[in-house]
Amino acid sequence: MLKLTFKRSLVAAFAWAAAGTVAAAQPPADLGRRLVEGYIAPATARLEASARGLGQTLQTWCAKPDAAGAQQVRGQFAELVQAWSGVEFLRFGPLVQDNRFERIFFWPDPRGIVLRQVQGLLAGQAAADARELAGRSVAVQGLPALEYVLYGDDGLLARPGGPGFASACAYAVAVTRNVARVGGELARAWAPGGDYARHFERPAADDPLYRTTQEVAAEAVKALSTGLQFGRDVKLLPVMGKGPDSSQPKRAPFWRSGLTLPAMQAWADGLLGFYRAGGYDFGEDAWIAANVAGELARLRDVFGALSGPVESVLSDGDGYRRLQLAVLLQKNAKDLVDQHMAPALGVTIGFNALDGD
Amino acid sequence: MRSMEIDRRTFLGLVGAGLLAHWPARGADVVPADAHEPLYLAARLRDGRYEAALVDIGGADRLVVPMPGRGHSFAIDKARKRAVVFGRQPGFFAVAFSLDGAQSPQALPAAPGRHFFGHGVYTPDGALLIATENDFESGRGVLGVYDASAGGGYRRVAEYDSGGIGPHEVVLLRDGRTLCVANGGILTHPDYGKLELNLDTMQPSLAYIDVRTGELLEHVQLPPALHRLSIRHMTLDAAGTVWFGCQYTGPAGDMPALVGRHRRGREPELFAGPQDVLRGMRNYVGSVAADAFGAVIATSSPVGGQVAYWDAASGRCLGTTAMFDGCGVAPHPRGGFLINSGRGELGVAGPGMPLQPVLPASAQLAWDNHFRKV
Repeated sequence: MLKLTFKRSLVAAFAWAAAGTVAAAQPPADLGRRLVEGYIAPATARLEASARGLGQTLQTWCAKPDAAGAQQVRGQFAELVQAWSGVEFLRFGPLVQDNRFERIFFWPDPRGIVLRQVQGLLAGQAAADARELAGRSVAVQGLPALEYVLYGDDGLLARPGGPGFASACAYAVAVTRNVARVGGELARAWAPGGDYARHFERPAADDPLYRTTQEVAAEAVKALSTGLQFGRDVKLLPVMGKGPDSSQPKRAPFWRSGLTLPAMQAWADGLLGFYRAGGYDFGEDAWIAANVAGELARLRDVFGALSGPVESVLSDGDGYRRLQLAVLLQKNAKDLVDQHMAPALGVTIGFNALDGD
Repeated sequence: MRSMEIDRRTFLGLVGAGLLAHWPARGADVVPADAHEPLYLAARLRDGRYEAALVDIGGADRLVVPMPGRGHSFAIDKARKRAVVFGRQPGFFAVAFSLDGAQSPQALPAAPGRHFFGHGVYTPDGALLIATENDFESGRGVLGVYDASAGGGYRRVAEYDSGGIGPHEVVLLRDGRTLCVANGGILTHPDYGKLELNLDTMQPSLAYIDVRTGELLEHVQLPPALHRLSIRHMTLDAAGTVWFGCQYTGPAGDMPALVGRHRRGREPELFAGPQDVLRGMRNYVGSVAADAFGAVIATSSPVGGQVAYWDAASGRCLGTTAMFDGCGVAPHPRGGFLINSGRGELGVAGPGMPLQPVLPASAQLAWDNHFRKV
C-alpha cells in the first residue's frame, strides 16, 4: 500500500514539475519572520516548557508516588506529547542537527529497539542523569522510552512504589530533562533572532542557508508536504492495515498511553497553525488558501472527534471509517500543497529531486 | 495524469501465470543497430507509464520494456546483448530483457524477505548477476547472486553480506573479480518506504568483495564526523579507480564535500570544489559517470539542478552545467556527457561545452536517475 502511495505522489509531482509555466505569486517578503514569530518559536518554547514541567512533577512524584501526583504526571505527559506533535514536522534545520529528532522521538521502531534497550538499561544501572543519558543510544533518550517506562504493563504508573520503582523513576526524570534540554536547544535556535531563526527570517544572497524568500517558502512547503506524507504513510496506513480485522494498533505512536489520537489532533492543529502563520496571499487564487486551511482544519477535527485508545477506534467500524477519512484528507491536503500552493509560490521540485535515491 | 500501475501482487500473479513474458514490447519494431553504434538505457515515466527504454544518441527509442513500477538502474551484459532493469527501492521486481528484443522479457521477483535497491552488475563471463538488496527484517545489506548463465534462468544461487547497511550501487572493478559496493548506511524497512530509521547510527562504507566467494577484501569508511554522508553512486576512471558521489542526511547548512575517489589500500579522498559549486549540489549527488576516456567524472544533482565535472587525475572541479532536475549522466562517445532530466530533456554538455539540446522538455516524459551507456 505504501509503495502505491509513493508512486501516486510521484506521478502527481511529475505533473507539477511539468507545469512550470504557472504564474507565480510572490511569497510574503517577511515569510520567515512570520513563520518564526507566529508559529515556530512559540511551538518550540512550549515543548521546552512542558518537558520542564513534567520533569518537576515527576521528581516530586518519584519521592511520594500518590494518586494525585500520578494524575498530574498523566496530564503533563499528554501535554508534552501534544507539544512535541506541534514541532515534529519542522524536520529541517535545528531538528535535524545533532540527531535531535531521534533523541526526542526514536520512531518508527519496527525492530523494537526502544523496548530492548530500555529493558536492558533498567536491568542494569538505570539511574542515569540527563547529561549521562545524552551519551547513550538515542533510543533510550526520548518520548517512546519515557512512555514505556511510565505506561508499560509493569510501568511506574501501574505499580507506583513497586520493586525497582526508585531507579526507574529516576531514569524517567532523566529522560524528561533530556527532552527539556533538547527542546531548549530548539527553542533557542528558533527564538526570533536565534542562531537558526535569523537565517530563516532574513534570507540574503550571501546567506549560507537561505538566499531568497523563495527558498524559505520552499522549506515551508516541503515541511507541510513531507509532514502530511509522514502522517499518512508512516503513522496511519501501517496501523490501519487492510481493514479493522488486520489493523495493528501497536504500530501507532503513543498507543501505550492512549495518546495516539490526541497526538494526531495536535499534529494536524500544528500543521494548520504553521500554514496560517505564513499569511500567504495567492491573489486571484485565494481558493488555495481556503482549501489548504479547510482540509487541515477538517483533519484536526476528525482526530479530535475520536476518543479512547487507538485499538478501540480501529476495531469500531465507525472509528475506522473516520480514520479512512483522515487518510483521504491528508492526501487531499498534500496534493493541494504540492500541486497548487507550491507552484503558486514559485516553488518547483522535480521528479528526481522530490524522491531522492 | 494517471499511471498504469501494476501492483506487486498483480506482478507476481503475472509472473506465476507466465504472462509477463508476453508483454508486448511497445514500439517493438527494434531497429537493428550496428555493433558500434552507441546506445543507452534509462528507466522513465512516459504518458503515465513506467518503462525501461533503450535509446540511441539522438534519444530515439530502440526498445521499450514496460515495468510494473518505477525503475532505477541496470545491469548490462553487452557481449550477450542483454540487461536487467531493477525496481527503484524498495523494489520488489526486476526485469531481464534482451537488447535486440529477440527474447521476451523475464520477470525476476525479489526473494522472500528481500527487496532490490536498484543496482546490479553482470560478471564479464555472463555467469553471474549481482544485485544490491535489503534483508529488511534483520536490517542487513546483502548482494543477491543469480545464475545468469545460459539456461540458468536467473536462479538465486547465493547471497553475500554487503559489508554494511543499505547497499546502493555496485560496480565491478576491471579485474573482473572484485566488486565495489557503496553501502549508503541508511536502514530502511519497506513498511515505511524510504524513511531513514537509523540517522543517529549511520555508518556508510565502500566494501570491496570477491565476486566468486563473497569474501570482504577491503572495507573503507569516511571519518566519523561524516557518518551521515551516505555513499550512493560510483563509477570507474581510466585507471580503474573508484569515484563516488554522496548524499548528506545531516543539516543542510553543513555542506560537506560530496564527491570522492578511493584508491585501494588508501584513505578515501573527498573533493569539495568551489563553494558555489558545492552549494549548488544541495547536499545531494544522484548519479556519477565517467566520460568516454575516463578522464572526466560527472556528478549530477537533481536537487540543485546542476551537473558538476571533475578532473579524474587531480580532483579539480572543471565546471558545471545547469539543468532543472537533471540527473542521468552518460558518456558521449566523443567526450562530454549526455544528460537527461525529470522533465524529459536530453542534452549534450561537458567541461567548457555549453549544453546542446537533443530532446526538449516534455510534460509526458520524465527520465529517472540513471542513464547508462550500453
